[in-house]
Amino acid sequence: MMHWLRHGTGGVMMNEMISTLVFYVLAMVILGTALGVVMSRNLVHSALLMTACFIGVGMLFFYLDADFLGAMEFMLYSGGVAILVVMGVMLTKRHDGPPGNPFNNNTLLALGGAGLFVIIMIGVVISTTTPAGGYVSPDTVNELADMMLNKYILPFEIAATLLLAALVGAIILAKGDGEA
Amino acid sequence: MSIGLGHCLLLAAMLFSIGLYGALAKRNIIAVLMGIELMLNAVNINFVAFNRFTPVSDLTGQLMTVFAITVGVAEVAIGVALAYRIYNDRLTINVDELDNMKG
Amino acid sequence: MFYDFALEHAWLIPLLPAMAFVIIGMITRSYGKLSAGIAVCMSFISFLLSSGVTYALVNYGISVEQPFVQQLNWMHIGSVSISMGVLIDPLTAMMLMVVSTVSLLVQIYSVGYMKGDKGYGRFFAFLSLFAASMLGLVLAVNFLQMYVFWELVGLCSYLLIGFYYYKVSAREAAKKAFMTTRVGDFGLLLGILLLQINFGTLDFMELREIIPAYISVAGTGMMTVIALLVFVGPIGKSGQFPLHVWLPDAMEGPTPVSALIHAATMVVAGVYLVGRAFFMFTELPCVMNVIAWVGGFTAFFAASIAFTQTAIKRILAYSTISQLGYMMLALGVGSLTASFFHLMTHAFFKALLFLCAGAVMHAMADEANIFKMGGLRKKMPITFATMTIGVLAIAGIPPFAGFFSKDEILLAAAQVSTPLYVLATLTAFMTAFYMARLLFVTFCADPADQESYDHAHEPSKFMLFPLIVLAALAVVSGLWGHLEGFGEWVRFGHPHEAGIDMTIAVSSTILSFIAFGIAWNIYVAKRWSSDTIAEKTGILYKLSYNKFYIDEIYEALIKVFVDGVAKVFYWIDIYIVDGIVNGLAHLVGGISWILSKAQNGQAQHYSGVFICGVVILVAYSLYYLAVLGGAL
Repeated sequence: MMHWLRHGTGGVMMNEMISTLVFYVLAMVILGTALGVVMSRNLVHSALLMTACFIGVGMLFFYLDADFLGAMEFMLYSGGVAILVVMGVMLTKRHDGPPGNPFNNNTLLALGGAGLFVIIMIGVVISTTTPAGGYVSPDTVNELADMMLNKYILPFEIAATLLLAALVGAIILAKGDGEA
Repeated sequence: MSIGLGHCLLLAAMLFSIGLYGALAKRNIIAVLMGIELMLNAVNINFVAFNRFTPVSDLTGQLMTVFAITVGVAEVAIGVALAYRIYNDRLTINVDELDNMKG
Repeated sequence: MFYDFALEHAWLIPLLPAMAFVIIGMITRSYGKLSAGIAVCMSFISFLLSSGVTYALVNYGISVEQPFVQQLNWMHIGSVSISMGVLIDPLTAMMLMVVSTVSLLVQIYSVGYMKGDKGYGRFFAFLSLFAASMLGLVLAVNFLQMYVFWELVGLCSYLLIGFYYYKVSAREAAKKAFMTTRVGDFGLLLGILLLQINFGTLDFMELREIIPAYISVAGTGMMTVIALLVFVGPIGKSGQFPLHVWLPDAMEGPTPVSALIHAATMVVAGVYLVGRAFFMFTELPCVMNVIAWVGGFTAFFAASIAFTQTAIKRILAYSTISQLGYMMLALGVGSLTASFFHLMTHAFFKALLFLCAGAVMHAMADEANIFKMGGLRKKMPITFATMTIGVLAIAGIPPFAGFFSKDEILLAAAQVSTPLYVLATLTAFMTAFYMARLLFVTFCADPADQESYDHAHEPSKFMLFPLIVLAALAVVSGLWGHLEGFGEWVRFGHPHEAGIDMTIAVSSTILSFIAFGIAWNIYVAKRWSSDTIAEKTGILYKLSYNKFYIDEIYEALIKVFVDGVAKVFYWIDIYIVDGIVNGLAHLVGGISWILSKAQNGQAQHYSGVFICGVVILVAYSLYYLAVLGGAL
């Protein structure tokens, strides 16, 4: 999308500024909703905020010229996983009031681990010089299909088998063995 | 300043650590699952960013992301089924009480 | 010639009885007569070979300075080489003759004495083993070989004392004998080890040269210690005070055993050792003094106990201890000749006395108390005659054997130390008294129990034959030894002249007759009552009758010392050792309990720890790579 923006109206500088702005907005959305998922006290709110986060990530994919992926993200994550999670919330709800989302005794350890991780990553990223250049594909669908069915046929088949296994497994888990 | 690899990577790192915190510090199984999903998404962002900003010749990064999404979806399905089972058996979804590995 | 063959193959002498032991022990144990036949046969061949060796010795003039030695190297351990072999000199030859003769006669006696016993075959096996061990000891060529056979005879003694293993008293006596001699053996072993360390060799011939040279250079300090340690062995084995306590109890064994082992042969192993190692002892006047006084005191002490004992074999046992004391005394005053002469004569008449005692006990249905016997001289005339000869011999009446040997000892003692001479003479007086008492009460006094008196009979011819032979030897051996120059062969250093000092000889004979007279008056003529004498002497009688309470003292000492030490160690074991072990276990348990707190079973906790660990590792490696510019 960026190159469309670039080759559209306006000057290069203006397009750059807009694209930077778009990125930052997307970033804030993603991070904000993610924080909301973790901090919210209502589990249903968390689920819905997670959906919003996925939408944000999908749009980020569009921004990064991965259009097929963005579509996939929308369809599968915000339209699939999020629904699954909401269904999980509903299925495991206790019958008194809205489901809560409390913290456990581990918060300090978790904060320590996550915080350390972020700090180290920031340090690494800042101190690395990124190579110039990039790759934008004009036709991601065709190219992805080409790769998937030629070079990466094996992972493709394995992924298909994995999905089948997950499907059967989930059914058995949910129904209980002996009854399936 | 144009957006480069570093920005995306930083964004992914922060999303990852938020997801990590959620996965480790929450009492509800579903909340833990949500944290894990956030982490998976952060990783996907990483792949796509690398594919976009480094001089490669094909879309390997995006293909990886396709597969990663697939696997993540399968994992969520299993996770929810598991949570449902645990709820059935123990009438609780409090992770703190799943401590059979104690000692 | 036969005697050449015997000399060259002297190692056969102990080997043949050993083979008899193996054959009887493994194959023919249940066939009584066959076992006895094998044992006696091998004994007889050994006797012939010993005679051959003695003849060869006289023929070739092998002397104490130039013995006949045959040895071969048994094994090397590092720089120490151990050899076994045969050493033949007049001492050895004399011992060979004594041991093989008495052994043969005792085995013939046992054919009759042990008849009907269900351990018949076992008895002959053990007797043969003993004969083999004693002969091997006598032929020993170095200290180590002697120690090996020393232990073997101790083992045989244990086996034979405890022959009637179903009797508790026999088992206890066997244990007591073994343990008491063990104390002695320990000292001997220490002495041998010190010898090996200091001189690098244990060979008698080599040490004979080395030790005097060593003493003239380095003085007597270390050698005194070694010699005293070596002497502890004979104290145990030859029943000197204070390790004499096992000999009286050893009478639990069958009478042939007492005759062979505890009178004639095994107990003289100690005397033989001192004689063999005399080159070491004569250089050390302090040790010689110790030996002489130990011997003298033992002689007197044992005689004083024998005064009041009532069991026939016990009287003879204490008499043996007393005579062994005489032999040690003779060695202590420097006369090897006198000591070994007395050894020879004592072997004959003491074995005779024991075998007669066995015949008497057999006739009186194993009754041992002499005061329950009496008047047996009419019923057992031959036994009475041989016993009388034995008593006369031990009392030192001429021309019987004991007179010459005892006279030589008294002479040697008088030449060196008057107190010892007085002690020895006093002991001779006491010996005559209690032996006469034994003879008179058993044979001459009126019978105590009419019924058992009626059953008494002369023993069988197997038992009579050895008695007669030994009686003949008891008469003849003294005179023969005196006339044929025993002192020229068996000696150390220069032979001293074998004269008879008239004052000593006459005075000792008169004293013996006086003792006989007193005994006659008390026990036969009943002019003085023995009970009043016992009352009048009061405490002395009590002490003597109870063996001076030595056994009780030892038992108390052992109880206090051993039990006390055991209690201390038990406490240490329970509280300290177990405490340490249990404490360690508790410590480990405690640490693991603390550490197990980290495992609370929650997966999130585990993954949190895991993430922290990974992050720290990453940080560390980055730090090293980036800042320090190198790998870990």
